[in-house]
Amino acid sequence: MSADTTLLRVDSLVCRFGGLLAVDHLDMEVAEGAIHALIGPNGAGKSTVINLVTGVYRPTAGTVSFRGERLAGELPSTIARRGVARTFQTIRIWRQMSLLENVMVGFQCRTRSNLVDVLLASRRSRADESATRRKAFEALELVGLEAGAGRLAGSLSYGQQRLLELARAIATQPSLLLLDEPAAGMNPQEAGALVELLFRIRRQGIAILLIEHNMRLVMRVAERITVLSFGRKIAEGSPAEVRSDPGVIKAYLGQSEENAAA
Amino acid sequence: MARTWRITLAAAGLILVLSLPALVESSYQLRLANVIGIYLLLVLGLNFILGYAGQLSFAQVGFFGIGSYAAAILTTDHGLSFWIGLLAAAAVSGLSALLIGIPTLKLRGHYFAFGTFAFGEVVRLLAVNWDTLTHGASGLSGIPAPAIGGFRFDTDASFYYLVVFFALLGIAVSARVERSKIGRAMFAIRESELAAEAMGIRTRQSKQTAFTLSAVFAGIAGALYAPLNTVISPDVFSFDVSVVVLVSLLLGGSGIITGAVLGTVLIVLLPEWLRFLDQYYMMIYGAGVVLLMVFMPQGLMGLMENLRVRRARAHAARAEAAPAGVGERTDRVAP
Amino acid sequence: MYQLVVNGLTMGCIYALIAFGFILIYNAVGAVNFAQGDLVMVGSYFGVLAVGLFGLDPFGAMVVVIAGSAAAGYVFQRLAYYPLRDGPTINVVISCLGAGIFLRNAAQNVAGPEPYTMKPFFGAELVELSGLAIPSQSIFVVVLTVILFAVQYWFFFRTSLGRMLRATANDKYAARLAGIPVRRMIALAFVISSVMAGMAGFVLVPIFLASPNMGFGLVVKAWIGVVIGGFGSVPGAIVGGILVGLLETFTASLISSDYKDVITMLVLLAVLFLRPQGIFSEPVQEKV
Repeated sequence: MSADTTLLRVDSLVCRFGGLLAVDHLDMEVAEGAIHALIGPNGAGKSTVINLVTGVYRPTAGTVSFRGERLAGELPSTIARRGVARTFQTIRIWRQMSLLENVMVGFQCRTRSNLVDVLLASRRSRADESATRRKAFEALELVGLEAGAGRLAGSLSYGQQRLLELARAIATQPSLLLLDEPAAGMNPQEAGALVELLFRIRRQGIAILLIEHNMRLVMRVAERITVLSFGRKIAEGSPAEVRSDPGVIKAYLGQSEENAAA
Repeated sequence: MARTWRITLAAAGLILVLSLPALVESSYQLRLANVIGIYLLLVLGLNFILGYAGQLSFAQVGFFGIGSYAAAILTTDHGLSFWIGLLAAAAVSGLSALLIGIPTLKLRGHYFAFGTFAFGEVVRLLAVNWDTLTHGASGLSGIPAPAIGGFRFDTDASFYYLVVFFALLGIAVSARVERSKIGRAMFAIRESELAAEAMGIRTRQSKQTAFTLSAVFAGIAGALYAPLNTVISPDVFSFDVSVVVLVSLLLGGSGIITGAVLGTVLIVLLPEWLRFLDQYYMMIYGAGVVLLMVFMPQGLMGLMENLRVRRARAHAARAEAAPAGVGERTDRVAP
Repeated sequence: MYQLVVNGLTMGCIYALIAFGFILIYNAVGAVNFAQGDLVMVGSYFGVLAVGLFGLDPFGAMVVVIAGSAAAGYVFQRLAYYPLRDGPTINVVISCLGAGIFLRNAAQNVAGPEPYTMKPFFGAELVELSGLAIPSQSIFVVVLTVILFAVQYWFFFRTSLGRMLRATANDKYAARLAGIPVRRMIALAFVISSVMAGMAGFVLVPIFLASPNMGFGLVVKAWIGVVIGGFGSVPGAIVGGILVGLLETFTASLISSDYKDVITMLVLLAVLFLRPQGIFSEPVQEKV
């Protein structure tokens, strides 16, 4: 199902925090429209990779390229506008705004109207507002949160908040979606629904790079899996290949709780 | 609260405001009203950078002073009209915000606040020392009243309507920005700058916009203050002004327009009502600020808003039947 | 020329003491303390009280100042910080601001708005040192500052209490997990900070006068020192404070006394433009 164009490419990426080597010469490629999973025991550096790709951290060495162009020292907002969206491991929705407003913020970077337009209530700003509202609602519908779109985001349950973050990221019209443990805290029923949602997202042409500990979900959804341990890649391939890789099994022996739950 | 309630309340308020000169007994009280109006512009300005964008700023007095000096110099030394002075005040203040914003907005957290605090001091020192432009410590006097054609706003009542006009304009602009993508971006930054950046919001630009808006509002307030006071001196740059503006916004409710109005009215009128406290007023004022932060940091309107939300949530919980999304927590009961 | 160095160093030491206290609180609780200058003022007034009212000698007065400032620092954090410890730091900043206003006006109500002065602590105004005339007060200030920072270094790096305080300033949550009594550590940070400020205020009186609003200008200079030295960095605060003192003195003498403050501010802006992280950069990056 994956196309042959590379969307995201990470070359020999290194990230060092003082004495700690969080990412150790990582090479990875995410293809256009693919669902790619990044797994590994806790502390393996997976979230760091997302932070490096989205510009939150600066790499110590190595490069990140998106659609063939280097993302060198760009602001996270610039990278987001290029089409790379993300969710956070610790949920960072804006609790004081409504569901709809949260997601509208995601889309509005795609609108052109500025302060002058707003102050003069120009046609462009009014058109942008209704388009933003519409697109935001569509994103909420995609994740199933459209009912009560006017509620305060802080009133949602934990799982709903995760979905809201997902909707918000989708609203930015990305080509690549980086999800940091989207299934955390979900029961099997919810996780199953998430799998369907991920396929729906992929059908819209959005590639997904997902960090997850829920192995059952990963095996069902991912076409390609990269395994990290202590910041370095120890295996990569299809789910079947990775599942039977001895290095992977060894790395996970100390993390048996998570696997048993999946 | 029903929408009709709000509209009637606003209409009643508007009628009260417009007929104030007729209702009031002395010109002193009308002068107080003018002061409230001018302070309101300062507070609404602060509301952009602090209330919406969440960045603590003490720069209002600096922009206020710049605006009043710009207007005073142009109208008094160069005989230009009030309206040119006003435009210049807004422009110069806005430009200062750009100049100051560039180095200071990249400062993390409260270092920006201290930067704005230092800014006010610098401008004051410039006003004192740049004699040729600012007339030094003695300042400018004999600032003429505004005029349109033949009509001069030289009475307390006529000037009052001028102030009301600008105050209402300020409220309208604030409301427009609050409801727009610009406002949403600022709210996002206030709650989580990291998430805002991740969603494509240019946070630096957004904060700069808020800062510049706060400066323009303050500049206009300054341009109004100059003819009202007829005298401008470096004393106008007192740090206390920035503190009063801050406390007004916090008391009323940061981020809420009606809060800004309520807070300003209270803070200007409180010393009048509490005159009997004499020199102890400022001490109590300082203690009051501490108490405000401990017991009511969201301000009066914020408190009301919280109560409303809590009541609405209780209401919704009772009526809860709506199926939520995929991630809805199901009870831990065996299926 | 040497005169300028001496004067600059004197003021620099005072700014360094204030900046140190400022940084200590910032590292411990994440809030800039706008009332730091007012804590300096409290120290000066305790000094004036000790010398003027009780007729103590400088060393006796120092004990009073230390005790008084420590108490003031403790009460300050208990009232202005402690109730807000779990909320957003912006509330702490504003609360400290309010406390500063209270302190300033309380001082004015109690002691009057007129400034107080003291004679230099050790007799003769000027002292001959290898052919140069140096104010005796300056020598005292510099020596005292060196001693205070040496004591501070010993405390923070050689005692277990100091280590616990450093751990708290570095990462409150990790410290709590390690069983460190964080609340007490923060109170201690405020007390130390206040004592440093108080000492600065005390030695300042013969040079500068003690008045209710003296803290205002001082805290701005100290903060500039902190920015130049580098956010969050203790050696940065000290070096920055001294640099500001020297800069100020040299500018006042060589360029213009009126514009010295403006030039100091401009240097600040230049630093912010060119090297915003200051001389000693901030170590920690926000973990996501």
